[in-house]
Amino acid sequence: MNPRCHPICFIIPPHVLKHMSNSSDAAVRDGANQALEVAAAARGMRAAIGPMAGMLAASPGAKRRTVYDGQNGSALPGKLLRSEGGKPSADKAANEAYDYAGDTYDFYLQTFGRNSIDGKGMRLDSTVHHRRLFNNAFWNGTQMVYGDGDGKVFQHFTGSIDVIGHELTHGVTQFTSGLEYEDQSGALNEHFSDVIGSLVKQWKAKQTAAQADWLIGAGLLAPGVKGVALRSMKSPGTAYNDPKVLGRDPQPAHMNQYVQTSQDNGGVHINSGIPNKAFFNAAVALGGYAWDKAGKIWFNAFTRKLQAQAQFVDAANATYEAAGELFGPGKAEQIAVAEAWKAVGVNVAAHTVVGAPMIPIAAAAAASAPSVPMLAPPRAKAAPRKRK
Amino acid sequence: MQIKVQRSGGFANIGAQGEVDTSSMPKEKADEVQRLVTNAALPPSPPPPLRAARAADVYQFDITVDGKTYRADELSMPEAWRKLVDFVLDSAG
Repeated sequence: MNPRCHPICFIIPPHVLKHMSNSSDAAVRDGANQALEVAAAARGMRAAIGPMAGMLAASPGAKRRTVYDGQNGSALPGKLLRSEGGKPSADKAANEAYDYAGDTYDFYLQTFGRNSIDGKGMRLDSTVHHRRLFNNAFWNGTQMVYGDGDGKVFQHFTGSIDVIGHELTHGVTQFTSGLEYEDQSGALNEHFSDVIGSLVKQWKAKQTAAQADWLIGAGLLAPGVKGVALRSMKSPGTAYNDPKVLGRDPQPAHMNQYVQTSQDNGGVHINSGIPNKAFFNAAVALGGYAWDKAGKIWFNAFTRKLQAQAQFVDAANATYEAAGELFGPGKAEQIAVAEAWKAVGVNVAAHTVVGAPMIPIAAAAAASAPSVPMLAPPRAKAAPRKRK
Repeated sequence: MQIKVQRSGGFANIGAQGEVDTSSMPKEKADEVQRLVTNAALPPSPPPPLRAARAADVYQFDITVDGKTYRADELSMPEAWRKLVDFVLDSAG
């Protein structure tokens, strides 16, 4: 047990911490006591702000950002560098984390009417300069964390707006579908983060689906590395090919190349290429700004219709259903969504061929299998239901 | 003693691996590895993977010591495991 208070401390139940605080091991005891103190302080804070909480939570459009300096260590969040409304810092990464988190916040609010990560104006916390030469960025369950890169393979991770949109969206997923971070549900979790990351970048640059580069992490690779980005939604598997340090982009663009692996939580960053390509297909087919139609369809499906264990086919069904609700059943939008998934080898249950009568998902699922075998192929999972 | 470390995942999903074998190392190095392994206090049989709930894009590490594999992500991993992991990955150069 690590005695220092890492984020994992927050998921250790208080009764276990109390037990640990009586441990004969001094390090375990200190760590547990420290975590208990933090928990007690948090409870006190909640008690103090309790009466005001409704007011704070229900302040639509109130952006609250905080950026911390990890000072090349592993402790989080670190030393406060900049908070909402404060003057720009002398630290470039801190200003990028602040500005791009602000853009992502604005995008969610203006495009989808969502007020921050939890829908209630949650503060956006970021830590820059995490560890030394750290080639990663992550969401730890409460905040965003960015490394500086080693300068040989990666530059600093706050340099790309889509990285920040991606990490912040892991928070949104946590507060909505709660997609489990492994295998297909994990790849969908990754996929939705890539979708929003790319859309924030397109929205900021006012690019149409046809004009956008559809790259994730463009500008992150250090000079000399052979590649344009880390992932391509337009053409999964082509973002880099660098025999020396990176190898080749392993993303598939079709179900028939789905990668079974125990690495990377079951290939969550690999198989996300399949739904990524489906989103690209839908956005380009629908034309114009990707956030207007495809983005809205995906946002509604991923924040309101998916369960934590959703598989690719559930996401296909959910986006099809969302398209029908937003733009009308059987309309071009809904057909484009079904075709977008079909092109990557995922078939929407309620959609057969263009021109055939549309059967709502509920009706298709309710119908007995022998009468509509083509419409409702046997599946292990139930059709997605709205979350309570 | 043979120790293998495999890193996967992370936002960029660029893997890394390293391997050391104490029988083919200078004595001081082998002693250092032994010290790191002792400090890591790996349980005799590997526990279920250590994973931070709700985290995303964190590194996943597989540490294999004489054929037994321990899996943990970078947030859940005890600092002593991390020291062993860093040593093995650094040895890979």
